[in-house]
Amino acid sequence: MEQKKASINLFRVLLKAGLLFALFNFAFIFVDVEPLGKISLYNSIFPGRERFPFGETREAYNLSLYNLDAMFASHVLDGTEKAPDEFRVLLIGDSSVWGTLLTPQQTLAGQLNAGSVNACGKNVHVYNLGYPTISLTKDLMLLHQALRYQPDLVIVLTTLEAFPLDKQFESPLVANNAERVKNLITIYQLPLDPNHPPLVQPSTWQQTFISRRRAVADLFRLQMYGALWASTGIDQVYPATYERAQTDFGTETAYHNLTQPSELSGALAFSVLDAIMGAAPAPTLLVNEPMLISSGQNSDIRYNFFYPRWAYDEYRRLLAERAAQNGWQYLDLWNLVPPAEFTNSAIHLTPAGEAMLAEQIALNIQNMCERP
Amino acid sequence: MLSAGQRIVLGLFKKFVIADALALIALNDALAAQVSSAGWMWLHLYAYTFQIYFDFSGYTDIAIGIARLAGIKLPENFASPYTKPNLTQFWNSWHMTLTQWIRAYFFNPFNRWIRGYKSLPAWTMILLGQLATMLLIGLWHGITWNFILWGAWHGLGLFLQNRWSDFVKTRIIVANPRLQTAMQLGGILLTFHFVALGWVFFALSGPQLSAQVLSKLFGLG
Repeated sequence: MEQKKASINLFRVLLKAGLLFALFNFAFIFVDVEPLGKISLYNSIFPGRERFPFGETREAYNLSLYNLDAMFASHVLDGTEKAPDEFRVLLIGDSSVWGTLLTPQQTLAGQLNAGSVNACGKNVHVYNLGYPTISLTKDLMLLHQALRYQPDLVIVLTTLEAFPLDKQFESPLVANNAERVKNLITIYQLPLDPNHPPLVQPSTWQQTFISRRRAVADLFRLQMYGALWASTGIDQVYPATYERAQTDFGTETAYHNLTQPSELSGALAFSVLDAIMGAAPAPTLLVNEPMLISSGQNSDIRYNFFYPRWAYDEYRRLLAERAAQNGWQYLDLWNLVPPAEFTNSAIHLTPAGEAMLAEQIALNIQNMCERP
Repeated sequence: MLSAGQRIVLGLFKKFVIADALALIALNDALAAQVSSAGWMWLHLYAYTFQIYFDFSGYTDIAIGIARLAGIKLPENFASPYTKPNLTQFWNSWHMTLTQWIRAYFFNPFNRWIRGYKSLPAWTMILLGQLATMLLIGLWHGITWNFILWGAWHGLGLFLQNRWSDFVKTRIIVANPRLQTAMQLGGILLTFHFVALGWVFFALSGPQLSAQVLSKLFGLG
């Protein structure tokens, strides 16, 4: 009799638990996970990160997630009140700005901060808002979110690979933030298709707790990794050896299926660049970032892994022309850094390479108030 | 059936929610080399201390629960070990199935045997009994220098606690209930930290690394 009673109880418990979980699971459809990212242990219990969370290995004490609120909440920028004597500079860009293979101190932001630069009678403090994927739309999305932090200057470092229209939504950070992208398209009147397939439009089922458990777990893991960031200062793996950037190439001359300089202009997202340059209420400095100029096999055809010469030359011409037309502050530093100062990619610099770049950019920051 | 299900759910929660989360920040060889601040090192050690408990007791709960579903009653393996006021009580509540087996088949026979050496002082017999037993438990976990050191750490700890208890019970009588509570809490904290420091040997792969971590924990490294 007792056994029968126990089995009935167990059945009822399981039924109730199942129903409650199902209810919770489907109620989660109406929960916006994004703002949960604002709840953060960074900048209080743990120090803020010097750069955005990014990484896929546990040894890096870091992870990639798509929640921009969480990314910003974990960044030191979010926890730093702007002092009256601070000249706040935000760096926007790809992995070369984020600092692949570089410690936070060796990055462009780190070296500029170490240089004690002054501008307009204030102390320059540079914040690294680079993120490792190449897309102007990704840059615009991050910049748009960063505007609330009162920058005095925005520096956008870019390269041709960020421009192709077919690459705009390929960054996972962009693809998994469809609502934000749609919002940007509306605000900046971008000629991009909000229904483009790479943008992840979650179905009803994909908004349940079961489907979004990874997003929720990532928020938790980001906080746990805060303890490791605080205790070690490590946010990526620094291998003792790595494969250096390719310098020998085949004879491929097409760039994103384009073969003629005349085709390039129509295939690039200059409208997104226009939005970036006009987004901030502060001056914006556009930098064509340094890249590896190879001297290996077929280097007369290709500059590097990314670019055939014809495409890159045309891009530089178009960019300089657009900058002049719009009166942008523009620095073309494409050939600033010698090949020996690149690491595992045609855009990743060694600490010495970053120092060369920092020197040039520091000069421009210092002269900000002297510009007309 | 219900209690078996509860036990399994409890075990799953301990293992996959608490222990696996703590595992992210628990002390390991890499962190031992990377962390230099004493405060953060303590945090990683505490994380390991609780991770190993929730991991092991979680598995145990799952095993006990599954066995109950099959009508088998397995013995308990943990009884809130980190809340015990001395090391003897800790070992009576940590991995109880192993300690009970070792007590029955090694500690007690060893003590009977060593008492045959009448010329040995009592304290030597106690020291040898505790040390030999804990070294055996250490070696049971693996044949490494660190498990030997871990066993020796606990063997010496049990010996010192035995001598201290012996000394105190004949000389100090605490009548004040507040003082008794304070001593009880002090004992719990001391025992917990002794056990936690012992986990340094358990968590790491070698004596040199363990020595470095112990130095860092006390601001000497």
